[in-house]
Amino acid sequence: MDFINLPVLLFSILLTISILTSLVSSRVGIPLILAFLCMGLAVSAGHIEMLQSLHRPGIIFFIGSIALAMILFDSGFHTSMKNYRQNAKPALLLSTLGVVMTTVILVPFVHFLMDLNWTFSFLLVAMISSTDSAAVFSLLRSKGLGLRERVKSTLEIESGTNDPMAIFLTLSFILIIQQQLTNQSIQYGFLFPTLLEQAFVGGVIGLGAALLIRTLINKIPLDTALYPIFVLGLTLLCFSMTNLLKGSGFLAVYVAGLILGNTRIQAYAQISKFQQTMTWLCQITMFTSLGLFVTTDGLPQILDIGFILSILLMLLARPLMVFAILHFFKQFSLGDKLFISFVGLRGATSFLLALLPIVMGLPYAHTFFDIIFIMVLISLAVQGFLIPIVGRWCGVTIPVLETAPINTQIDLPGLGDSSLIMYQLDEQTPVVLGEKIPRWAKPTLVLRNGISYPAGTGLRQLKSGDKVYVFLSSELQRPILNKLYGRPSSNEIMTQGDFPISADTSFDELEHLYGISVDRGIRNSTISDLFHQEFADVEIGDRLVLDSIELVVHSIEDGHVSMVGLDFDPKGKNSIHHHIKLLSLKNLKKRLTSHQKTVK
Amino acid sequence: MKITEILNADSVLVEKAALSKKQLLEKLAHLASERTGLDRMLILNALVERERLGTTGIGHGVALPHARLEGLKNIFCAFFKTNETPFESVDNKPVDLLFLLLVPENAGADHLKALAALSRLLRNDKVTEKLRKNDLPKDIYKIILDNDTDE
Repeated sequence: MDFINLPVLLFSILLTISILTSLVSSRVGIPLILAFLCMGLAVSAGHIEMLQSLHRPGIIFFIGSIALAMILFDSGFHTSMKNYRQNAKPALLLSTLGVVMTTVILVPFVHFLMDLNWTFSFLLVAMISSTDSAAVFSLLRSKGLGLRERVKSTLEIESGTNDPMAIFLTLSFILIIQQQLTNQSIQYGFLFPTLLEQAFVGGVIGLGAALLIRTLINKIPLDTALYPIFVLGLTLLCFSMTNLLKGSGFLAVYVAGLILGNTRIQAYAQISKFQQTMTWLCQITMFTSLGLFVTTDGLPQILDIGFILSILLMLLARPLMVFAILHFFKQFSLGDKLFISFVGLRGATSFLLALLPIVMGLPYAHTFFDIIFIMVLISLAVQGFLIPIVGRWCGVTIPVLETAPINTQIDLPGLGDSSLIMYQLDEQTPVVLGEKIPRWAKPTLVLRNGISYPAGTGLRQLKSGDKVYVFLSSELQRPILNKLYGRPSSNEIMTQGDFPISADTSFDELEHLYGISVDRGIRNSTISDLFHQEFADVEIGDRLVLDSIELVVHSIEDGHVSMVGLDFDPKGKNSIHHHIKLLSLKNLKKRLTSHQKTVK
Repeated sequence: MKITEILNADSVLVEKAALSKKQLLEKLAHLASERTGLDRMLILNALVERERLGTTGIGHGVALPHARLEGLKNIFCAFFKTNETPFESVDNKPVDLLFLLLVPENAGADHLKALAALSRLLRNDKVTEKLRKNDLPKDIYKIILDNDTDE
């Protein structure tokens, strides 16, 4: 039996160690993925025979595709529809046109640097042209990184939707290469209609599948533990059906996930938890098994080209593409664009695509795979580790609390919209500080020191350390409950050093208060007016520069800016965002000061 | 701008008394009135008016009440340390370290530079920790002097 036990022993030790590394690093996502990748690599380098029996590209591609489908379903599932509507346009342009642009910009470099013919150059670049959904998600959601909503959801939507495009490009170039190799006349005419067909069929089936899954889940009474598996099965059904009908299965599962994640379904909490675990499992499987395919002997020869291409992708192709596309969306500030440019993480998808040429037996396939490996590795390591720092630099981070309010949701079977929420109170919770609780929001159950106190058994004052169960009968009540039992969300926290001021203050008043020079045209309008004029969908953290002051949105009520912060010391925050903004204002300021001088 | 350009050693005050926000502002207005010769109510009204638009309690026990005043000749700055006073701060925490800043109408950019310098100083946790430990005005002035970096 040792032929089973030894590999399992080895695998489980590696698995345990790599998961424990997540404890060491606070930046949970990326190092963990790297650890799995290195695990596969170690196995590959060690020529461990037992595991090498897995060395069949076809099988790994099969496993990888399913894993990617699961990851994309989860990406959609955890994207909020509200953010989707607001940021879909720029994000979808980034994920379609953006992928093509990235490819086109990078191809000449590959062609000339590697002395490779054009079609192969295109193939190589197409494989690395999409950003990785799992990596972006785990990174943007890691602890301690609070990102402005617009930037965050744009990146999330982009990474969730650009895989189908990259897959399409890669498959197209493989087809073209196959035609070349067999000396057939090459046809390009099929490309565009095929793309449309894939997107259309994928979208429609995804939509239909979501509605079907929702009805099935809500109608069929099952053991709660079975719901997540039921969903898993239906998702894979949707994936394979779409592919068989010549649609993009990856797009279909993403769309299905997006719709399901944003509707009230039975056992939502269970499904959500299960999805997160599945995503990790899929990533582990993908990265470990793909790591097996790196030919460690070949790595040194392509190290330099992999490195150069990574740099070009990171510092040239992606920024150029992002700036060109987001130029048309004026709600993105310079800092936003810089940050979005930087978060072009490559990962599992590129890897998986790199397997395709191997499966198809194309020339250069293994070299390509190794180059992609180097590029993914560099991308994950460099971008992954630097993101928090770059985020602060670009001014896209918003302060987060050290610990978010702990709350767990328990679904109540049979009561569609209702659920029970558990909050763990601490000394900063408003109700502990004496906030009054409306009758409907009173706890159903309080756990203190292991003893449970049902409603009405005379617990007068809630204390820090109490676990409180509150019945939620409508989603509309959630924000109020969170306010009472949770800590203030990051949105409600002001940045230290900013002076809050009512957004109803007019510029006339502001000029009177601080003696700053204000353009005559805006003198009668309020700060709020100006923000709504400058940003189509203004959000917390948006900034405007006025003379030498920066105005930062602190809070929004009923869709209108209510409080802003005055930052008198933008430079003091050590951010590139501020420096560049001020630089571009330098001329304007010079003009203003010379004007003031002449007045005096 | 350096803080010591606008803050005199004799404008550093430590007073341990339980006050309300209003009383605290009155006290600051009173002090400023004595030093600048301007009417006390004029100063108080300007400070209260500024607080009405948004608190100057910027969190972590720190407040920077300020106003721009007609008739004032030079920038006036004072440091005030008191018992923890409720100040409607952004983080709802009481305030114990305050800088008062009054600027003349023609101060121009100096106004903003002074505010920036003061908030930069009080944003430094090491500095506020030291300020909280010391109660002698001359020690406090020295701490401000030592950490007064012009950027």
